[in-house]
Amino acid sequence: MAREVEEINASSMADIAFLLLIFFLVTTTLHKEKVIEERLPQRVPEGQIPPKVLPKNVLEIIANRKDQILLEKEPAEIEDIKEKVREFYVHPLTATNWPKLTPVRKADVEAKLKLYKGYVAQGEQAYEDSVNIYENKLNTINLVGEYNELAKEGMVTIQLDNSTKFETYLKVLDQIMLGLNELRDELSREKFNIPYNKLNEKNEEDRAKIKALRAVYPKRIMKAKNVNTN
Amino acid sequence: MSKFSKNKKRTDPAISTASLPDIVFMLLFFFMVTSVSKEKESNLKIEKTTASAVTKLDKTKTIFTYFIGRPKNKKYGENYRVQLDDAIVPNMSAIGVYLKEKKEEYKDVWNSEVYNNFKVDNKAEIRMVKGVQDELRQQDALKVIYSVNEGSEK
Repeated sequence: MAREVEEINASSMADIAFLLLIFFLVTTTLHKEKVIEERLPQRVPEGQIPPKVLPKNVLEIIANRKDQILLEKEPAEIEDIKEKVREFYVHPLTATNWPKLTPVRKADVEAKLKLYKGYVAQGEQAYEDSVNIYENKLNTINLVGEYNELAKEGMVTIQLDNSTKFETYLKVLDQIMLGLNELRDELSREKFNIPYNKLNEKNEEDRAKIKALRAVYPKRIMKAKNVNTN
Repeated sequence: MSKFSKNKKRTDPAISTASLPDIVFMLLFFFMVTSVSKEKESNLKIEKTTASAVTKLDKTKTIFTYFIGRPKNKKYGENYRVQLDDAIVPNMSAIGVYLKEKKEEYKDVWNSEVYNNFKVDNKAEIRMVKGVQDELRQQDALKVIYSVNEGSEK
């Protein structure tokens, strides 16, 4: 007579699995860390004199050691920065108190590109950069249409005191990015029918779109040297 | 005489629990796969700032973490200190020394894949952050991220 194999009792399996499950539930966090990115300026060789800036080319934000904000020389709240940033990027072409906006026309860009490509073909390597620049401009126009280009000198500058709180600095940075992202988002919705933050950087087509939007509204934040007031 | 006699007592069959472990295991695997293990512990008290224009941190990159805050343990004093990865640094130049070593190790991706994550207490003075960043700039480590809480506070 063959011995009957006894069945293994599996009812405690659930308990073991529960134990593991609870362990993982407790020790892990689900949320991803949220961050604000910034790129530090390159180290400058000693003795180099920084270029002079015209007041109209910068949006000046100053935070003092009591965390009060001075926006374009006027006392302001942190929340006012966003609107000013929008104005900094989008203003009438004739405005004299803001950096120059230059309309970029497709015909001009194509003509320039042809010209510079001709130079490169003749062996003038120095024009390769110009070719790149105009190729990028043409790509941008193809994606978002003709646009106004912000002058190279246009910058948002942040001047802090050494004793300014970190919180204040981040809030200022946040406001600038909010204003900037809002503009990019509006353009993205208008041209591509998709919100800016839904564009996926890993997708090649979307990456080109992001690049175009960033070309129209570039992030130009400059930190001035901290001051010390006692 | 009804056709459907009620004499016979109906007993509910016991619900089989044999599939319970499977269900639980499924949940278990879900949590194991989707969860991220806890962030690096800090010896400093840090209350993060709230901001809204945020991006998600890509954990696949190499990240150096700098904590700036008041020590939890009194033996380190009351003043704001800097903690790099898991130790409180004695002075700013120690950061430079550390980065110099790391720069050799990661020299191909130093300014593309390496991020410097700042977790700073919101009441810390900017001079502390600036001090650390000056060391970073000396070593050409320029990619900086600030860890924040997401939200739209007023």
